[in-house]
Parts: sequence; C-alpha cells; structure tokens
Amino acid sequence: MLKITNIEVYYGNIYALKSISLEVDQGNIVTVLGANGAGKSTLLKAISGLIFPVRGGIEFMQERINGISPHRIVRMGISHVPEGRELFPDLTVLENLMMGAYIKKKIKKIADDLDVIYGYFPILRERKSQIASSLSGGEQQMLAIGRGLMSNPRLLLLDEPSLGLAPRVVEGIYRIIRSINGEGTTILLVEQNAKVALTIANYGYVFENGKVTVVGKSGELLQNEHVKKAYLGR
Amino acid sequence: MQLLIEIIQQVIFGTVTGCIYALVATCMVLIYKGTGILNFAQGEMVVFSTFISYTLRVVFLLPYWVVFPLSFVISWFFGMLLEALSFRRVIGKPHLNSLMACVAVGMILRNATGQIWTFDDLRMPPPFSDQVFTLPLGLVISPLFLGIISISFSIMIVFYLFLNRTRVGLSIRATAQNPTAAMLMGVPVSYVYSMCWAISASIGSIAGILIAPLLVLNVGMFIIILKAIVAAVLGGIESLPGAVLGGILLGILENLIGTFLPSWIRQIFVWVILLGVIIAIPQGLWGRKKQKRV
Amino acid sequence: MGHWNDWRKVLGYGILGAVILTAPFLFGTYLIFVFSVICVYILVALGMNILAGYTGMLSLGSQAFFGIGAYCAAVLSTRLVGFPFVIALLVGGLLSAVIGYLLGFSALRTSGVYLAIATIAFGMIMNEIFGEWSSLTGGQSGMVAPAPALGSIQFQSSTELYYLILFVSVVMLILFYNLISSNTGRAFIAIRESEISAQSYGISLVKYKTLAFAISAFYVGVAGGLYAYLMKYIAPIDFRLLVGIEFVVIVIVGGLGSIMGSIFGAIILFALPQIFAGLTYWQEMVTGLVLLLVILFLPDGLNGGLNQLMNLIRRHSDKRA
Repeated sequence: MLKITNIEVYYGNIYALKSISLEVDQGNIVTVLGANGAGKSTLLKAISGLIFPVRGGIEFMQERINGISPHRIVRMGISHVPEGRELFPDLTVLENLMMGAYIKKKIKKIADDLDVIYGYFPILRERKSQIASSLSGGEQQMLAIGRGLMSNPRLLLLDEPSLGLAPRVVEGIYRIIRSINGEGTTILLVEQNAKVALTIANYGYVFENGKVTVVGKSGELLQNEHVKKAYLGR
Repeated sequence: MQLLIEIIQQVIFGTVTGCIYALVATCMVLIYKGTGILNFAQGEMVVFSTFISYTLRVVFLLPYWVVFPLSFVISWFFGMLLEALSFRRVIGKPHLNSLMACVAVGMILRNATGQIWTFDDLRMPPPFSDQVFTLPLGLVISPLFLGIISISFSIMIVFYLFLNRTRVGLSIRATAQNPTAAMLMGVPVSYVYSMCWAISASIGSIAGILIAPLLVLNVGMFIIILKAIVAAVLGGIESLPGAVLGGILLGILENLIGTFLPSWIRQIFVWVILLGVIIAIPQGLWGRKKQKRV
Repeated sequence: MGHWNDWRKVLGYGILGAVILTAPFLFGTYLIFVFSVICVYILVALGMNILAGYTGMLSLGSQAFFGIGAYCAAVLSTRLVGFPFVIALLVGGLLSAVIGYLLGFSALRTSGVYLAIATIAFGMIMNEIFGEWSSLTGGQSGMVAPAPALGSIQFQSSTELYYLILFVSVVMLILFYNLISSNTGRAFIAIRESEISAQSYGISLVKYKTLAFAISAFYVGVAGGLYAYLMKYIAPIDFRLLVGIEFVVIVIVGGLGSIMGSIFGAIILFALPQIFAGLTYWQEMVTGLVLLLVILFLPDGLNGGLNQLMNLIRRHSDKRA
C-alpha cells in the first residue's frame, strides 16, 4: 500500500533521514521504533507532506505522493495524527472532530462516523462540548486519534500515541488501535515505547540516526538481541 | 438634568462612531487571529475602498443599495490581491517584517489613493438621510445614526454566525489556532489566509461608506486605523467580541471626555488609554492571558 | 597577498577621510548641507539600531526623542544667549535618555507588536505636548532655533555647522562602536536572539532593556538637537508619526544591526526625497515601495544585500585566482 524508496529528508538543517526504504502492506500494523531524534517523526511528516524529501520516492496505492501538499494527501486517504497531538486548543471536542471531517461533504455520513468514533471513545461523547485544552492527556490523545479517523483514512499514521500517558491509559488506547485496524484501517505506528508497540504490530522497523538498522516481523524483532538490549530493556 | 441629557447625547454620538471603530477593529482582529499580522494598513485599505465607493456613487450614480454590495465584492478581491502581492511573504517572519510591510503597503495605498483620485477633501453623500431630528428631551438624532448602528450590528452578527456556525468559519478558527494541524485536516491554509484578508477588506469597505459622510472623505482619514487599534487592544486583540465592545466603549468614552475636558486632552486621552491598557492589562478587557511557550 | 589588501583598505579609508574633512572646500553650500543632514540621520540610525537592530525591540516613538532633543537645543540657545551648544545637546540627549528609560521601564512587560503600539501611543502623546505647550515650544507654529554657540563664538555658516555636526557625529560613532563591542553590546544581542536564554545566562532583562531604550533615546535626542541647529526652525510637524516610521525605515533598508547599515540607510533616506524633490507627491509612494521591496526580498536590508553581493564577487574572484 505504501512504498518508500531511498528517501533523504532534511528537517531544517539537520540531515534526518539518510536513504530510508520502507513498505507497509494493506491491513497491517507496521511500527517504527527508535530513540528520540532517530528520525521517526520526520518519516511521518514526509509521508503526510509536511516536509518534502530531497531525494527518493514515496508511493501510496501505486501513486507517487512526495512533493504533494498535505491538504491534498489527506484527500488521498492518509491521515496523520502528529506527535504532541496538535489539537485545536480552543475548539470543543466536537469541533475538533468536525475539523477531522473537513474533507467530507455529506452531513449524514459525518454524523454516522461521529457515532463510530464515540463508540471507540465514549468519553468523547460525554465531553463533546468541552474545550480541547481542558481534557486530560489520555482524553486528548483519544480525541487526536478520533479526529484522525474522521476522514475515513485508508492509512493512519500515529506518532507516539503513548507519549506522556500512564500505562493503564496506554493499554486502553492500544486496544482501540487494534480494533481500528481490525475494521480495515492500515496503521503505521511510530513509537519510542517498543514493548507496547510490538504487542500489536505485525511488522517493524528500527531507526537509528536516520537509518534503518533492523527490519522484520514483530516476532523476530522481539527475539533480536540488539533490539532486546536497546529498546526492550533486557 | 441638563447634564444627564448631554451625557446621553454624547453616548449616542459615541455609539455611532464606536460602531465604526468596532467594525474596523473586527477587521484587524480577524487578520491578527488568522495570520498573526497586525494590519497597520487597515486604515488605508478602508480609505481606498471608500474612494471606490465614492466613485460608484457619485460618478456612476449608482444607488447605495447597489454600492454597498458592489463595494463589498470589489474590496474582497482587492484584499486577496494585497495578500498575494505582499503579505503572503511575511507570514511567520518576525513581527518587525510584517509590521513594516503593513506600514509600507499603507504608504503606497495612501499615495496611490491621492494620485488616482485627489489629495483634496471630498464630500461623500450619506447612505441614509442625515436630516437631524430633535427629540422631546432635546436629544438630537438622525436616520444616519440609526442606519450606521443597524448596519454595523447586522454585519457583526452575520460575521459572528459565519465564523461560529459554518464549516468555513470553523476552518478559519482552526487554522488560526493550529495551522499545521489544519493542513493535516485538508484545509488549504493559504486559501484561508487569503480569505481572512478578503473578508477584512470587505467589511472595512462597508465601514468606510458608513463613516465617510460623517467626516470628510480624504486621504488623511486613515487616522481611524489608529483609533481602531486602540479599540482592538482595549477589547483584547485576539477577541472578536472584545473588538466590538472595545470599539463602542472607546467611542462613548472619547465623546464623553471631549465634552467635559479641553480638546487637546481628548486627543491625548485615546493614547493614554492605549498605553495604560498595554502596560497594565495587555490581554485587553476581554482577552485571556497568554503564556509564553518555551 | 594580505598586505596588499590591507594597503588598499587603508588607502581607501584615508582618501574617504580626507574628502570628508575637506568637503567644504570641494563642494558647494547645498551639498555641505546634504552631508550635514546625512550625519544627523546616521546618528538617528545608530540610535534606532540599538533598539531594533541589536536588542530586537521595535519603537515607533523615537521621533518624540528627536523632538525633545530639538526643542531642548532650541529653547536653551534662545533663552540663554551664548549657551554652549555642547551642553544644550547633552541636556537634550540626557533628558531624552531619562524619558526613554521610563518608557523602557513601562514597556518591560510588552513585546513585539504591543511594544510597537505602545511606542506609537507615546509618540502621539509627546507630539501633542509639543503642540500644546506654546509658552515653551511656540505651539503648533513652532519656533526658531538660533545658531549654536560657545560663549561668544557662533556657528552660523553651513561650513561651520558642517564641522560641528561632523565632530559630534564622530564622537558619537566612536562611543557607539565601543558600546557594541562591550559586554553591554553583547548583552543586547543576546536579548534579541532569545530573551529566555539570555536570562539563563544571568543577563538582567530589566537592566538591559531599559538601558537600550535610554541609550537609543540619547542618540536620537542628540541628533534632534543637531537637527534644530541645522534646520534653524522646528515645529511639531517635524516630529510626527511618519517621521518615526521613516526612522525605522532607515535601519530596515540600511540593514539592522550594523554600523554600515546605519550609514546606508541614512544616505538612502535622505537621497530619496532629494531625487524626488520636484515630486513631493510621490515621495511617500517611493519610500513605501522601497521599504516593501526590501522587506519582501532583502530581509537583511541593503547592507545584507550588499554583503551577499560582496560574497558572490569574492567567491567568483577566488575561483579565478
């Protein structure tokens, strides 16, 4: 579904991604692991169009998407839930979700999708008239994911959904991510918390200093000595 | 008793001018909220569109019910043009750049207005009858006042509804709060910026038609911008309702002070208020305190 | 190789210096007047540069200090015949500095756009005072500024004024250079780059921001005094908002944060009206266009643009060699 070939990406003046190749098959959950600054977020930004690679290609559903602006990439079916959530702080929960549906025209469809999101995250229905910045960390993350789903993406990019959240909350969110995948959405998941990411991913990449160092099915990664030492704390 | 009548009279006058300040302040706050630029050229934009309206009315002899919407539309494109030619390149740059860009555009517009039309004074026919009626208590009122107040409020209400009850308005608010996220939602952010300028120019043009008959129409009228800045700051520069309240409050205060104190104090008064608000309550009367993000 | 470059530089500056010193004998009265005015604007630019260029604070109220300095010089020299001009200039400068300090103090809590607006308000208030305090300032119609004096000596002719202004300018320029190279100067730059970082280095924002305002006001005030002597007549209209805007234009067009930039800016700002002397109606448009073009395409001002050009040329000639 998503095929990245030898992209080189600069983040400001920093040479962040030094020839990365990566593939995501339809229906999978693929995770990208690595320490801070390894380039994981830059990867997602390159896919969603916030940054353009200087070299290499990104293909989505066999169409070349590098160099296309973000607001058009959304319309192609890729939704990016950024690091730090990037909500609209002074808008209500409902308004944030409505913004997620910006590209959709039919009000009825939007209403139906809202129900689905509320199904995943009932707390959002409760808080729908509350200002986004007044929500707790976990609730904000749920809102961010819910907002990302409102555009009915085929591919969902999640950047560090576990960041700053308590383990119980993380568990809950990951369960929901798994069911979202179960409903047919392909997921590319960037995580620092390798342990939790590998519980739901089929496949994984490890980034170090802008390069891919380990690749494989999640089972393989869990057995990999380097991965175990560096990211799983064993 | 006489004093009370006088005060009420000044409040009436003040509300009228205050509505205009409120309109122009709304334009500025829209641009500031939407793009982060404080539009110092707003006054000149208003004057330019007012001269256009003047031409439509006096040269082409179009009736006002045509001039209002026509001027609105022309100014819409005019705003988009200005944004595309100059302001687009200063978004995101340090304040100094955008401020001076506005000043520069203002200077160019001011001079262009004078070159294209004239540097002299023009008399703008009022859109409503400016006949003056004396009410029983000795209060002076005119259809012009009522016209100004009602049109101003209508515009502000429509604008409020547009911003808060439509999807387009929502996208503008969202873009103002987080342009990156807005992009990820599919909002063509540059169109949004363009629209902010367009709306601002259009509303400004209406404000111009409303105020020009009260004063004299000439190139120097842009001074209103400074008053509108005071109104916007007074109300809280990020707050649209604040701009409205700030404008009306300013108009009323200005007139009351002018009645009871010598004229030069009235002039200074506006600036003292501005200084005071900025130093003591920088977020304005209706704004919220901002915290610095590290 | 290096020797040759040094020789060329010294020679170049030497010739320039000689020309400046002997100008009255080489050029006519009008040109001498032009040079004098440019010197005044260079001082203004230096003052503006301290705020906008080095500390990163935008003030649109500096025209008020220009006026304070001008009125001080005019009033003192009128009321007290033979009053030494140096003292008059100093009084103007110091008074401006004190008021500037107070303005800086009140502005501590503001920044960016708010600061600009506050300074505009300040400028408008001062302008109004210039106009209303008729007993002192002659009101809206202004007042005459007598020739600068030193006891019984009077500097009347354009030549004498030129040397006087040149002398003061050079002194102020040397002081400026010392200031910028000192710890204070570095503190200013640190504040411009990042207030929070500067604070973590122990730089007191209160102390340096108010100091920057004071020093800036001093320079503009002294320039104002010289302006009064040069023009021989001042009125509140000389200190209106547009003038303050032009002051900012000088440093933006010339290039923020550099002495050469100040000089460029002053020359441009004065050259422009001269070129369009017959076309006063177009002056504003031209100034606006120049400013806009610089903002949009040359964010570092002419100085920056010139540096880029020089770098380009240097790289080209290095390749050849």
